[in-house]
Amino acid sequence: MGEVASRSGVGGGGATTPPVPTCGRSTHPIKGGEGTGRRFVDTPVPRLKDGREPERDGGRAMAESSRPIRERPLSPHLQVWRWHVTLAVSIAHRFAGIGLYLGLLLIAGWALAVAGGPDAFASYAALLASPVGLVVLFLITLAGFFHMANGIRHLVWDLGFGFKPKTADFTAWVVIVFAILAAIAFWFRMAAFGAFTHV
Amino acid sequence: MSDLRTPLRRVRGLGSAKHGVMHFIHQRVTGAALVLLICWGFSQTPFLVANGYDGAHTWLQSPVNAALASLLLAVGLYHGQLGVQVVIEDYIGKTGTRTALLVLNAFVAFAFAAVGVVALLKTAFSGGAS
Repeated sequence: MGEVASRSGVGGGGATTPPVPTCGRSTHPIKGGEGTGRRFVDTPVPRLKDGREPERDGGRAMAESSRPIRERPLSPHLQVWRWHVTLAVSIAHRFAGIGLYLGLLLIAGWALAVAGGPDAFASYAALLASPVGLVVLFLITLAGFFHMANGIRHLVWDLGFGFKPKTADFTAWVVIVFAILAAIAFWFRMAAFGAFTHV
Repeated sequence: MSDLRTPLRRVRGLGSAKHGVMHFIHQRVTGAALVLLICWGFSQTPFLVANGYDGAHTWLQSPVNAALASLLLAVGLYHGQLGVQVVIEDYIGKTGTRTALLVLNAFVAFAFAAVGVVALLKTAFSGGAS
């Protein structure tokens, strides 16, 4: 197949044409393939739909059909969308998820600190109780409530409900308000239990 | 004919490996499990943080607490690995960088899950409060 493509396809477009990725029909050089056409004599030669041999158009059809494939943007291509609450929640869902990944690493660290004994635990707790640590912990709880609520929203979507624009807007706001209120309530409860006061 | 790929396409490992659906389902099922585990975790956190080392040590003596904390870590990091995998696949186009990040993602997630769970169990099996 490689020999067919290089002889009649892209290569036929002219020596100045840069190498173009072809759809499955590779230009990958097969060592010893050039000039030894007989070795591939029983490989079926692809023909165009009307039965013409592909070289008659100088390979242009193939080069042109592959150009849009090269220039396709990567998903989800943020900059083309107008700002909207569902967009904001969708992006925040990802950031919150990445933040929670880090939060789980902190929990693994906490498990190690407990296993390491009272001294290891004390230094780890002091780290978490520092101002930066508390801000990080608050953001992680906020991300936790947010990602959980929006995750439930996603699960409801997966069941086929809640796709109407007004519904989606409403549930997006519900998720935002719930996450903020729940995170604040959580830290009030922490304070009521006297969390971090012993450190 | 169940496979429309050419033999060349298949031998290069391109196209569907038929694992996409499992990724989707695992992400949802771990997500549903995490709704419960996170609610439980958030309900326990104030006790834990308020009572220092002894509180945490005693708390982990309960098999239910040790098991659910292990599940929270393991299922959470698996869910995180699946999610970050999608982010990497969406935004990193270069094959080499993408592959390296995907492997790193899996290494970090499973290493921390293993270390965290073993640490939790070490405390859980270590007997009464020190």
